Amino acid sequence: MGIKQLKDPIYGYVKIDSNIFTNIIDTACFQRLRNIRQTSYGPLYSAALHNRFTHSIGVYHLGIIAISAIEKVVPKGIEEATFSNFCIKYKRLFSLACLLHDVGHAPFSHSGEAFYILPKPDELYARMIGEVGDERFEKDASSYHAKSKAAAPHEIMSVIIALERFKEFFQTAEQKAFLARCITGYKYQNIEDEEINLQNCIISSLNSSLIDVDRLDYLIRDSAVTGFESVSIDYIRLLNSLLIVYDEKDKKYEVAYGKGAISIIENVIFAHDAERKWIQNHPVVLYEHYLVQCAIRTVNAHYISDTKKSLFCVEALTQEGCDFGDNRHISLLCDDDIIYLAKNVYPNDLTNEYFSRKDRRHPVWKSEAEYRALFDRKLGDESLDELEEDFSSIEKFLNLKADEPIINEITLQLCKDELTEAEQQDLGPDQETTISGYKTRIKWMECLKSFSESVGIEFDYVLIGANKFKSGFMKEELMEIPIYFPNLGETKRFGHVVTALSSSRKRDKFFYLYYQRRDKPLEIGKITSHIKRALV
Amino acid sequence: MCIFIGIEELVANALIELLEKTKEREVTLDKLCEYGAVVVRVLNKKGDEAALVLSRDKTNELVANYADLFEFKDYPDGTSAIALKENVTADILRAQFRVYLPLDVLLAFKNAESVRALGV
Repeated sequence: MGIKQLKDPIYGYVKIDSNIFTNIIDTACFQRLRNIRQTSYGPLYSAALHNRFTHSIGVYHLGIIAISAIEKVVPKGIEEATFSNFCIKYKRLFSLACLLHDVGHAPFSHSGEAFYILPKPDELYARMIGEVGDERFEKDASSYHAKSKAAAPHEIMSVIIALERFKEFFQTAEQKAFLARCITGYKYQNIEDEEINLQNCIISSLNSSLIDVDRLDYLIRDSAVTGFESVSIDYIRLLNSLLIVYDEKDKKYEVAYGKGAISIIENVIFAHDAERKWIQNHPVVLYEHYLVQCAIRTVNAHYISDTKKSLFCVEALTQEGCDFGDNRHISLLCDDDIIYLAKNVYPNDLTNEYFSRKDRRHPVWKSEAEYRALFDRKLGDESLDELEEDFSSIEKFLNLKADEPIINEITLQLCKDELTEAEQQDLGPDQETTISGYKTRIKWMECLKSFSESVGIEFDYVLIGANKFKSGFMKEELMEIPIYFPNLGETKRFGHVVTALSSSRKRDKFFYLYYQRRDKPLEIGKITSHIKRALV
Repeated sequence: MCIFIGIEELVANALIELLEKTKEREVTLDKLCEYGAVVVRVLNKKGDEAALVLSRDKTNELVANYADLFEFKDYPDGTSAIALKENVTADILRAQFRVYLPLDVLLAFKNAESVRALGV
């Protein structure tokens, strides 16, 4: 079996067997990932141009390191030959799962994936079950769905694409099911034997709530590509410490880290915290995500209403593609298609704003810290709660109701019209809350309107809610990570050996308010004073 | 117009209906999914494209963000449910999860056909 190499700027040479290279990586289906941007960080970090292709290769590489480490240490209670056979059977499958885990990702990655579930949400799930064709997988998947813990739409789509397009690599039902389990994270629910238990261990190495090879690659890659200064993650030391241990209490095998990895686990959490806090929650990035979603929503809505078919269907992701009612053929759906359609076929003010940075709305305050400095102490908890709830109500209402979720004359009138309609209906116990809700929204919209008139700017605002930062150190799952101490011959939980940070905070949401700057920069003090007066 | 209904809206509105009509303080996840499917159908009939957002990430967020209101319960027979914490009333849920609903979405949550899916 020949080997080919790809040079990756982070990991150096990534070795891949020629068969996988030719029959997966070089196919149109996989090459599509070159045109799916990994993040929406571009407006903040202009070099953030990396794509799902490089990320998938990176995860493949880390997956090989992880499984190679795991196979070196025979878990207690398992025969060496048995474990060796298990690793031979699943190593290649696991590496393929790592390579293909994002093969079904939507244009603009997470901004687009919600649209996979329109117009018939169950279809995607049913298609995945059909492709896998394994009763036990269906039962376990159903159990996850029943608990509202379904895999993300892009994960389901990736299983479908991987099994439909790369059949020769997954010939038995067992192989298909394992691939599907790795990508979706659907572990076996009933563990009746060692092999099933060990499979669950391998599955969690790609799909876990805390640390897995997917997250590791994107944390390292996002930092390296953007230039964002983050902590260094010694991924080699971390992954080489992986082993499978037996938990006497729960009577099952699980993946553990060697004690030498404790500091690196902390670094992973630090890095993830930093990315979430300073990049993902940055108002410019949030606004980019908002514009992209509006553009996709506009474009896709035209397709659904005209053709009853979502642009975000399985067929549109393939090389064969799909015909749509507007005499358009779409294949290998990627960012460029959405950009073309938004720019040339279905433009509107919001899509135009995506393309012209100069015309973008600006955030009134630019960070959670600034928001807190402006509002937190001066208003008092109760008033601030009221403000945040009211603005959250406006944001949610507009997202559910308005084609363009902007606070302006149109949506103000929409609220007034719906208030009139609500007053004429008998809503029973909901009458008071509903009427009060509309009146509150109208009050705040009128407040912003009067402010705009007083300073001579447009009555035109966008509200985007943001989550107040919660560190990954507060996650329960972190406390449960098993750490193996070879000198003690014992496994301890991370939470028992590392001091946990904890804090409690009553309110966990805040918001950004964006306005049309044009040539009139806003004095931040003026608008915040106006808002505070309205509260009082 | 595409309407995405999140798990928190689905859970809260289901529990409002159950609490007020049957005094039940929890909803099984099976019933929740059925309820959601009917709500979507009701909205689709009115010409809106609606979908439920019930992925694992969103469900985990529900537990994290609204821990003061809801809790998960797992039963020995394998069923799971979301229950209201003590002292949480329909009015509390209403103030938080119905106050912002557009009229058509509110009516879909209250629709007789939707509520029947909850076993009421």
